[in-house]
Amino acid sequence: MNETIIQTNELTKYYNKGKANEVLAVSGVSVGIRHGDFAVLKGPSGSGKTTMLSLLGCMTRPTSGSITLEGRDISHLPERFLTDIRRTTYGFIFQQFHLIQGMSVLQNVMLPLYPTDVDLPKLKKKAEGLLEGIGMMKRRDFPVQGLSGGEQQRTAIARALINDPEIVLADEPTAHLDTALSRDFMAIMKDLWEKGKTVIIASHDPIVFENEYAALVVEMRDGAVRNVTRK
Amino acid sequence: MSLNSHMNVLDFTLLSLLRRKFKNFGIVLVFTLIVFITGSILFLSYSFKREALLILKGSPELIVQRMSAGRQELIPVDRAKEISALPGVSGVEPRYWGYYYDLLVKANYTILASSGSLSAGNRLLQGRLPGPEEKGVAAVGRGVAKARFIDIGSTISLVSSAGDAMDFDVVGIFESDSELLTADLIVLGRPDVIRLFRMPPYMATDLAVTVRNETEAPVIAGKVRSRFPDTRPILRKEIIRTYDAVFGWRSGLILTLFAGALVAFIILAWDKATGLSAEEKKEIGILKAIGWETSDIIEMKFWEGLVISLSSFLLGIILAYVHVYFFGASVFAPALKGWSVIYPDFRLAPFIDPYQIAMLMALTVIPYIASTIIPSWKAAITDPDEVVRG
Amino acid sequence: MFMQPGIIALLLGSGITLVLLAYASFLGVKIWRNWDIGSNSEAQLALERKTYLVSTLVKYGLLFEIISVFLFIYTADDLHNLLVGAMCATGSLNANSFGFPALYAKIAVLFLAAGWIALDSLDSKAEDYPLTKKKYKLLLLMIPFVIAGYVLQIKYFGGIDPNVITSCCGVLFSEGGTGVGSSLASLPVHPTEVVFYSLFMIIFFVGVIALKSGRKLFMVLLAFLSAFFFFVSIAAIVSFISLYFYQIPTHHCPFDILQAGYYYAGYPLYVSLFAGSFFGTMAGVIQPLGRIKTLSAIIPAVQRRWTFIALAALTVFVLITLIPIVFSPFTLEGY
Ligand SMILES: Nc1ncnc2c1ncn2[C@@H]1O[C@H](COP(=O)(O)OP(=O)(O)O)[C@@H](O)[C@H]1O
Ligand SMILES: [Mg+2]
Repeated sequence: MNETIIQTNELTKYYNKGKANEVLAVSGVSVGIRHGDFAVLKGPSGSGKTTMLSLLGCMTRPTSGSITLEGRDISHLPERFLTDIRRTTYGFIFQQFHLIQGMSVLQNVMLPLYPTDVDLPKLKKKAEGLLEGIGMMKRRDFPVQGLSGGEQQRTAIARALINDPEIVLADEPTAHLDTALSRDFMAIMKDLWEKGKTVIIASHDPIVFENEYAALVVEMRDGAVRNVTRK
Repeated sequence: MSLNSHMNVLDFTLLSLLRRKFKNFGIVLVFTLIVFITGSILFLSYSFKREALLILKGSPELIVQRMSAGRQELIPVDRAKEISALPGVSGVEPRYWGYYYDLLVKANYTILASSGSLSAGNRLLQGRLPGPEEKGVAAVGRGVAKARFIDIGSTISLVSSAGDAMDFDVVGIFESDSELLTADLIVLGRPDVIRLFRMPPYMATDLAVTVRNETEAPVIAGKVRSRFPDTRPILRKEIIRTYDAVFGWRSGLILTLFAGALVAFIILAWDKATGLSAEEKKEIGILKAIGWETSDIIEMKFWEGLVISLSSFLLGIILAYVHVYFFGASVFAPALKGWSVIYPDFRLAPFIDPYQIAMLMALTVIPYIASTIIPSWKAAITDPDEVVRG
Repeated sequence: MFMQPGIIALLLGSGITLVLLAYASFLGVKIWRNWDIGSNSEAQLALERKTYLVSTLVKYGLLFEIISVFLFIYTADDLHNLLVGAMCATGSLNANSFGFPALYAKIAVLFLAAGWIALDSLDSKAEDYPLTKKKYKLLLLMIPFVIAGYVLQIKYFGGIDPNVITSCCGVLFSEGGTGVGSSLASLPVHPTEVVFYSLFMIIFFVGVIALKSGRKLFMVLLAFLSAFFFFVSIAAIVSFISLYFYQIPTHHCPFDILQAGYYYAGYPLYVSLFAGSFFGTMAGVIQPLGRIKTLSAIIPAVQRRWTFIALAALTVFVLITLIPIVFSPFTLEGY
């Protein structure tokens, strides 16, 4: 289980390149993440963590440098194929949860796989299974806007897991939670990690990066890697 | 090749439309109204046409007119004998008729001399027809009767081409269900028609030729024309086409006027589609971030446009159908029935075919859907990276 | 002439199609000139996103074009009342020399647009979008047909003179006449029947072998046969299939079968014929693309699927032509 799943090489991302408001958000990052790693990107606000996650998670293409996912160079893929990879390999938990208002918990969890060839009854069963596992079954038909912050995040987690992702990404997951809920969240992540998923979290919260199982901590500053610790 | 993903996206679209039913209500309402109006005009004009065709089925297969300098001239009656000698011709009857403009009510009447074939085919008459040689009596269409406030027993006064007034006793009125063509009709005896229009002796307006076999009518027409080069034989089909042209033209005109409203509607649709609410934009961004592809969003928007336009289309067509066939098109009939202000109300036979549907589609659904393409695409290419940051 | 509601609807509907496709080609040129799949620049990303717009425009264009072809035929059919000598759409289309060419141009657009969409879908299956430059060039090829279809239809409607006697299917397709139409109709019934049905059998066998073996030769053969079969079928419809549907030994009109009086049999008939010959032809047309590395793995599966659709559709088509022959007492013995 120790071979590399994601390898970046001199990864660089500019926003608005060539314009007056050009920003170098990630600059020359080379890191390797292994199968079954529990990796944390840490660093102050504006250091490029979210951009890194976005690049690793196939949300955007690098300006230069490369990303290799299981040996396949994905840094030049058209968006259509990046979406395909996201759909099959990644689960993403956003900082602001991004649930769709007006829809139920169950529908929100099912949503990522609608445009695939699954049939809806099967998808529903699967979503219910995930809600069960995360203790949200009683809220199944609640519209999401009525949920508490912790419950919204659980819904978002279930949604991220609907496609059985190999890699789970989370951006500042504890930013809106109190300590108790933050620990709950980390317990869920640990559980996923123990089941063999690769977990990558961007955060500057010690609850996240000071865990004994956070095997890889990548410290970022001004878009570049300052320090890599592997336990 | 599975259809599941398309059905799933449709499923989601329906859910979303229901979540925003009040927002979509306005567009459905306007769309329905447009389809209703356009549909009413089309249904009305097409059933008029069919009515006219039905009536004309009973008229002679061939009419022979004489032409001079490109205009219709009176035709010598003695040609009838020669034409009836042609093989395949079963009868020739001179017809005496013309148009009369009534200054009083500002309407055109059709004046027609009574004849054997006319009385034979008419069950729609209340009272009786004037005899072919009878003088001083008239049968009039309901429209004429209404316009001039006359009834059986009244007199109707017309001014002859010579300028003198002629009075006629009204002995018959065509019933209200006597269709389009009799509404503006006045039937007189032959001598009165000749006097009214100052027609020279032994001349008729045209000759009505009946033939044994309708498919031979064009051949007979050809023979008539080569025997009398100054004539224009008109096949029944040609009369039908005149009605066709008139009705087509009239509804075309209205449709063109209506195009203005249509453009307004397109702009409205454009506005609605481009002006995606912030909430909707955010939703599309979320969908993209959680694994929906650009083409999935475009497909969702396609379903949305299709559901909105087809349901409004269906609703509008049903309303138009009910309006035209059950309520006699009370809103638009006056415009279509035409230059004569005196056309009666009449019931139309329900009639709908793929042609009308395709026409309505081209006039309403296609412009609407086309106007949503670019806004949908703009929404669909939302950058998932932007969503990551919230 | 232009004040007919059908014509207004047609000019509006096909005008929109024209605008969509013209805009698509305009964008196509822009994409084609600046395309650089290897680049990760924002400009390239913007172009990639524009390809979605072009695909959407062409798809909608095809959809509207289908409606517009039917509308054109209906309108022509409706006009026969206005025209001396015309008894059906054939006669109306024959009213001047623009009618049939307008129809041909529209049908060409149908096939080209459908073919383009097929290529587009193929292209988007390969990670390097290998057909991009080719397909936008092809898009430019389609534009003249779209414009021709629109202009010809305007000339056709504008040129209709109700006073000129036109010749209808009876004459146009009469066995004694000259010209393509009559030579189609005067094709002797029995030999035409034999050619038509045996060609179908041949296609069917070639198709099945192509499916089973996936061999290049059979795919290409299938393409040629399917394209050829389209024309043979049109000839067969004019020559004898229509006669069985109308049960009149002289009515050769290929359009009247679209009407209610014939149970709208023309719709499934033409849809299955168009789909069948289209997919059969496309299955072979894409054969050379198999040489492109990123497509080589995709092409065989796509070919098999299209071959299967082609065989199914053509079988449905042939079955429909058999219905009146088998189930009605009408016979063409002696004609
Ligand atoms: N869409 C964007 N356009 C321009 N600049 C951006 C954009 N997104 C992020 N940035 C900039 O990139 C840098 C890195 O941001 P980010 O990756 O969000 O850092 P972090 O998540 O560590 O706070 C910041 O300076 C930020 O302002
Ligand atoms: Mg951040």
